[in-house]
Amino acid sequence: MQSIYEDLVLYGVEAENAEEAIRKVGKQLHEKGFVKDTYIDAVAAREVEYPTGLQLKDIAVAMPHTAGVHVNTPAVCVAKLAKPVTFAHMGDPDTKVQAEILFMMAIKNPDEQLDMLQKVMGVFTNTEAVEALKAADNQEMLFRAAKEYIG
Amino acid sequence: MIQKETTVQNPTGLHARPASQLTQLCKKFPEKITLLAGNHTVDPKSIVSILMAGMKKGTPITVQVEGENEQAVCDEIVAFIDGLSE
Repeated sequence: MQSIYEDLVLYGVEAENAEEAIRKVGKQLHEKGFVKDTYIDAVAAREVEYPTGLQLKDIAVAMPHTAGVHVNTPAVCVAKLAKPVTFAHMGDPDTKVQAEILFMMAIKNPDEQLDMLQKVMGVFTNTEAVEALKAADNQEMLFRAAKEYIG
Repeated sequence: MIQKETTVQNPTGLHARPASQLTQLCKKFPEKITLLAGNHTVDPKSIVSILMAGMKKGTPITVQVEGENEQAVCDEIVAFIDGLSE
């Protein structure tokens, strides 16, 4: 299943906080028709209650998402932020992480969520993939890295 | 060390939210906890480890606990997994 689309790879997104980052990145998913107009508010609300920041070995990321009812077509929007933004850690909300990349997931059905989570987690634990994502300093490099390692 | 078998029953499996709740539950216990799910050996105190295993509905899980209150901790973890409903 295709998850990465060139239209959904963003480089240098400016945001001051987690909500602004979610709204800017979610706007792209909405404008391209992957999600419904309820998606962004739903993701922002869910992030407050169930945060999705993750501190990995070499990079901090966040994987905001919400229920399938807000989604038209499954995809992952990969967005490298202009500067790191504070997200609370998944499973440990008192811990804050400085997320550098958002993997904003539009998931339609539950099995897809687990497959997509597993696929994206696989990337985070692959040193070569993390290095490629970190090294990307323009949209095209980021797209190529995301496409190669996520698909 | 004691162990107990269960199976993921809820339709959405151990996705991000239940995985977060399971991590928070397991972190409360000093006991050593391991989940065996398919080919994966999962440290449930690590959210990354749980999500890497992709535990869907129907996935058999062996919960292993080692430590002072191993029986009670094991029962509580199995009850959590069995109690997932969404």
